[in-house]
Amino acid sequence: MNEKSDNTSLFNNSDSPEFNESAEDNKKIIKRLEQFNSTGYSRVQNTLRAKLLAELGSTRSDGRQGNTNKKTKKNRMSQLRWILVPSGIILFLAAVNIIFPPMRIYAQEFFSRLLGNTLITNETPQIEPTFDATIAETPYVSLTPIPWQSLRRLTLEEAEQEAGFTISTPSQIPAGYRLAYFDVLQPDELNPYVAVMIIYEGGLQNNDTIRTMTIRQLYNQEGKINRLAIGDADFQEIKVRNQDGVWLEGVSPATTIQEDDSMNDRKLNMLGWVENGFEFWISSNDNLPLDQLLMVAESIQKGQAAVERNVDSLGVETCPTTYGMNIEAAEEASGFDLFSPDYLPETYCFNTVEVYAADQNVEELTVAIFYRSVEAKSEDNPLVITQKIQGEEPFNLPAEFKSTSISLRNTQVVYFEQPLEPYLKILMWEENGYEIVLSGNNDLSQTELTLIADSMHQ
Amino acid sequence: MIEIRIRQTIQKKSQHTMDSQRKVNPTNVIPFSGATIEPEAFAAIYDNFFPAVHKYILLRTSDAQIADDLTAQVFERLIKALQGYQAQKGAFEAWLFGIVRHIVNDHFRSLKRFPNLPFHSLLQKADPSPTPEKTLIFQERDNELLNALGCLNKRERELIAFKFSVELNNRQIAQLTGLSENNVSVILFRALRKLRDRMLEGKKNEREI
Repeated sequence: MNEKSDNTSLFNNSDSPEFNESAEDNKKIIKRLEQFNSTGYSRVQNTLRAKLLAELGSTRSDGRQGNTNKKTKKNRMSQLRWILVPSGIILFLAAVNIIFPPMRIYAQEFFSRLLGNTLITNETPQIEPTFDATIAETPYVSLTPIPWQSLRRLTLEEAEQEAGFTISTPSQIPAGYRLAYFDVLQPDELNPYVAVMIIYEGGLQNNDTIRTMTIRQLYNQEGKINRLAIGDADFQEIKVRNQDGVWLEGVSPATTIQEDDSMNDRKLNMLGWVENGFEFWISSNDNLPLDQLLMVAESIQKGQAAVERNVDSLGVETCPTTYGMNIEAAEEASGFDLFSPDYLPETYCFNTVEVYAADQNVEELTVAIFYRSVEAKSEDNPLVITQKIQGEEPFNLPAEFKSTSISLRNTQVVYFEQPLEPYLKILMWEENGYEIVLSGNNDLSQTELTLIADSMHQ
Repeated sequence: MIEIRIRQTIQKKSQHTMDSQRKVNPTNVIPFSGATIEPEAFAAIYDNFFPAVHKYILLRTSDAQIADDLTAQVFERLIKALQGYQAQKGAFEAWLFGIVRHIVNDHFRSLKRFPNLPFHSLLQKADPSPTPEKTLIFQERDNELLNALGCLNKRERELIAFKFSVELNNRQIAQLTGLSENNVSVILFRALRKLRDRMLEGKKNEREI
């Protein structure tokens, strides 16, 4: 909560001395980062340029020669094909004409068309140009510095004030999702009306991407959905809240760069309708199905407080969907009998598990179980449990770490703290032939880490 | 294959000094997909983007030698990769920095360290700060900045590097990293605050000494 108030004090137009000092310091850091010129430290800038250009020059001339040879060969094949194929057809039809008189009319028709339209023509042959093609003008993207973008995490009241209308909000959301923030987009060249965004987040869907469900509300006086470029997305007309609506699957609003440098489209599922002078769009980047988005749509009401989290029948907040392997799959992949905790602090959820095979990066087969906190402002994993086969030699902690020894389930456990973020507190011990390490960030106290460790079993 | 002849204007401009080459719009010298890139066009791209690529890598690694090595890898890879660039699918800078990001990430993966295992990476992190020899080559002011960057986690540092090397906006950074735009804002904000705290702390320590 402290963090939230810090954010507010830094980005709102506060007149407090603390804010002014922080903003001034921020500006200084930004200026330092902007002014940092790294090329003064490069020893290769000019030599690399010359080397690459020389390589490129030689590659290009080789390539051209290769291309010329290929073209010559291709041209010869092409010429031969033009001679052989028509000759074959003519011979075949001539034979048919002689042998089967009823076929004559068809053969004559064929020759007429062939001679009239194809073989005898005054048109200039269409030859593919091999040079002098001009380069397509691509839109110039300016390299002028883009000013620092302030973070806008508006509350419902702030968003309503800025938008100038009462915002309709949902009372139901999918499991694992949580209200992130409101934002208001002012009209621009693409959108003529002010739009309100309600953003819900649902944890990571892979190592990087956060599951997001967005509800967008904007003025619409025409009574029908505005035009939207949907590419090859699946389109379906449906009824939403007794209004005409559309359900779109696989809309591509943007591209991402893949590991192999290729550019792939991102996909969104979208549910849209128009109601009482407003256009609504609910979109999901995590393939949420129609029934889930319809549930959200049906629960939308004007003037109610937006639901902040999804809770189960016991009133406990549901965990975001996990990604990657689960514990069972990791046990199968590693052959380990994994320890996992029965106790987790409130708001902590299992996130994913990774198995690291022994290779040049990892000396021994290791399994890491990652936990996240739904309260966390970032997607870092505040708790990680690693497990590997106990070594023959007892583990020696580096001397700079001051450790304390704790007795846990008749096992001696070592606790120590280290200064480098993010994992500051560490508990480690050996049990049933495994070496187990619990690493927690500053959100977790030593007591909580110990409780987690105490509840662990295979 | 259609061979592209670079427009005369670009050829003329590329014969000028580096300063005049900077005025050439590099995205206009990129050929159609599958075409061979002309040296003059590549030179224009190199001159325009070398500083940003090098700065991004140095901000992420704090090591001038590694920055040189990885920058060389980027431009070597770019010669081949340019044939696959599709202008209609996105800005050239964003695509180029997608490649740069992969190369830097590959570099970190190749290091003998457990990227996701906190305890092991801690033990293997023998010396998080640059060696004295390497420290010497940075000016004091830059050294302070590069050392402070060491307090950021991997993702925070990456986003700071994007923001202040090529000056991509948050939407472009989100597309490159797969994060949401909102998450980019949050991480950048936290990173900036951490940097500020670390640098103020450094100054306070200096005063106390």
